[in-house]
Amino acid sequence: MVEITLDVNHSSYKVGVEDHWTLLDVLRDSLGFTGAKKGCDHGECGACTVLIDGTAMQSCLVLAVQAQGKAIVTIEGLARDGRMDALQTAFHEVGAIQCGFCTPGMIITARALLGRNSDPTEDEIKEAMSGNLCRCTGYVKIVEAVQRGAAAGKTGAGTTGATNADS
Amino acid sequence: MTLPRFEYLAPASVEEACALADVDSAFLAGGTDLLVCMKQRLHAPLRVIGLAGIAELRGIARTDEDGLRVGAATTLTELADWASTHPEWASLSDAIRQTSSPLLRNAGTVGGNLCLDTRCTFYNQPPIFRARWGPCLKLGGGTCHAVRRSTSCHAVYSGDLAGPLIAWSATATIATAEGRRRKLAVNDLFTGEGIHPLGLGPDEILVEIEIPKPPPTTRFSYQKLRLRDTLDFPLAGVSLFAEVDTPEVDAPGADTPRPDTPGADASVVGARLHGARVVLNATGPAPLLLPEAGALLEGREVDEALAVELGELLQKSVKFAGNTAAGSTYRKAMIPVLARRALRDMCR
Ligand SMILES: Cc1cc2nc3c(=O)[nH]c(=O)nc-3n(C[C@H](O)[C@H](O)[C@H](O)COP(=O)(O)OP(=O)(O)OC[C@H]3O[C@@H](n4cnc5c(N)ncnc54)[C@H](O)[C@@H]3O)c2cc1C
Ligand code: FES
Ligand code: FES
Repeated sequence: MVEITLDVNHSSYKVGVEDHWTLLDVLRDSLGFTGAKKGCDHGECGACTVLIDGTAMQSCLVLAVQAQGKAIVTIEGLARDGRMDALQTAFHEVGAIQCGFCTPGMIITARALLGRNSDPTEDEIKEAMSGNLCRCTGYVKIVEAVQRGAAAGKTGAGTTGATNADS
Repeated sequence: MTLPRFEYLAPASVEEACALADVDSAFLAGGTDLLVCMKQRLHAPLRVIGLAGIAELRGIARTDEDGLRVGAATTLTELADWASTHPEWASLSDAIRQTSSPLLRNAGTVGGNLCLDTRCTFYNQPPIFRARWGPCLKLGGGTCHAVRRSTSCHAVYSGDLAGPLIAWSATATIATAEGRRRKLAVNDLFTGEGIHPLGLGPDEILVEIEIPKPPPTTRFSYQKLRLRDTLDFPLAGVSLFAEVDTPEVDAPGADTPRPDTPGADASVVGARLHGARVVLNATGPAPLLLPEAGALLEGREVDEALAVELGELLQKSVKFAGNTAAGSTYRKAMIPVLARRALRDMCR
């Protein structure tokens, strides 16, 4: 067991880990950030997606020891000052959620997309989200929610920015 | 499934990394293949050597001859983004973006992609499934489950980048444990053997690849067969790289958009090809550069007859084993379709 420091959702945590533990397991089981979901644990579904230095990454395929010194953001870190992220609000309002298992990964991937491209086309949204699988919704509402989140971001409603740190 | 136990090492230089490596270790780049294989207990290295902290392995630079030098630990996203903003390299970006998914490309690297192990539906499975049919040749057993009574392994090399990079005449630089460097054509990285598809020792690192600047009239097309438009490994792939003389007058049909399901009527006409390099991938244990296909295309005008000839030649060059997510008959039938689509891209 080694003690490492992880920067998660703008706070720093000291945590004991084994070299073979994944970031996903440490986020969920050691730090309690269960918003990052374990769907497949094999890189196939995107439910475990978190932001690492602003880039959307599947945390089931990252070692916890590799994540030291990087800014990690899980779904729990998107809301600021009691206000949901524009994308969270959009997913909620549009009804882009059925069981909700894919939703944290979807929102994190969409947040990274909007950080790079604040006004994506429908095709760009579909392409960017194509590593996030949903077994319930059929994706139509998810794409709509991302469009709505993008529009809200432009008008200043909700928060913007890949890591959300500047809102 | 959790990962098996190992010690994680993070060397700062290529030389240090080579010195730490042996048969009981594995190099970790993006981890999108290695960690999956380890979770499935296909590998259980005692030491995992992380390459992410080695500055020399990262980045994209121009060579003196205006080609590209790409560090092995450059992510697929980084290379695709760079290439898409440089017109002469943009078709390479299209190929990269057919690999895995956007999320996986954020982690997956160029080196990890080239150094992918071969895959097989009887091999890439959790232990509980594999236990049902017993170890195959690749796992040290005595039989191949994909091709019964075969004494060689038929696992498929399923990386997406090798085919395109061979078509672009890319070279690879390898660092050896003795501190030496050797350079070879990407095509020569592959052994053609399912069990050990790469000619790299356990303590050798792929440092970078170099891609020569394409001649100005070059066109490139990578046609990938997969079940879904995302995530899936290739079931077959055709790369076609050629210098193209476009017709002086607009040939009829030259700008016909590609129909979703090309049928016999989807005509290809117009351009004349020179110096074509044709590579098949995901058809066997190694990518397959086919000089005879290049010879067939040399100086010929692209028309329907040529599309048929190329399709037949490519089809004859491969023998599929039934060990991917789709049947061999379907994959074989799709080879001429992929060839036709690639030729049509030459005429756009
Ligand atoms: C769901 C899923 C879908 C996928 N789909 C595709 C696909 O469609 N097409 C495709 O090509 N791949 C696919 N992949 C595989 C993988 O994501 C990519 O090939 C990726 O580019 C591998 O790079 P990596 O850096 O993650 O490799 P790693 O997993 O880190 O390494 C892969 C192998 O290469 C070795 N290695 C890595 N770097 C070096 C180096 N510099 N020198 C020597 N050896 C090295 C490692 O030791 C390991 O054996 C998929 C993976 C998953 C999980
Ligand atoms: S849990 Fe990581 S991709 Fe499915
Ligand atoms: S809402 Fe159930 S998986 Fe997407």
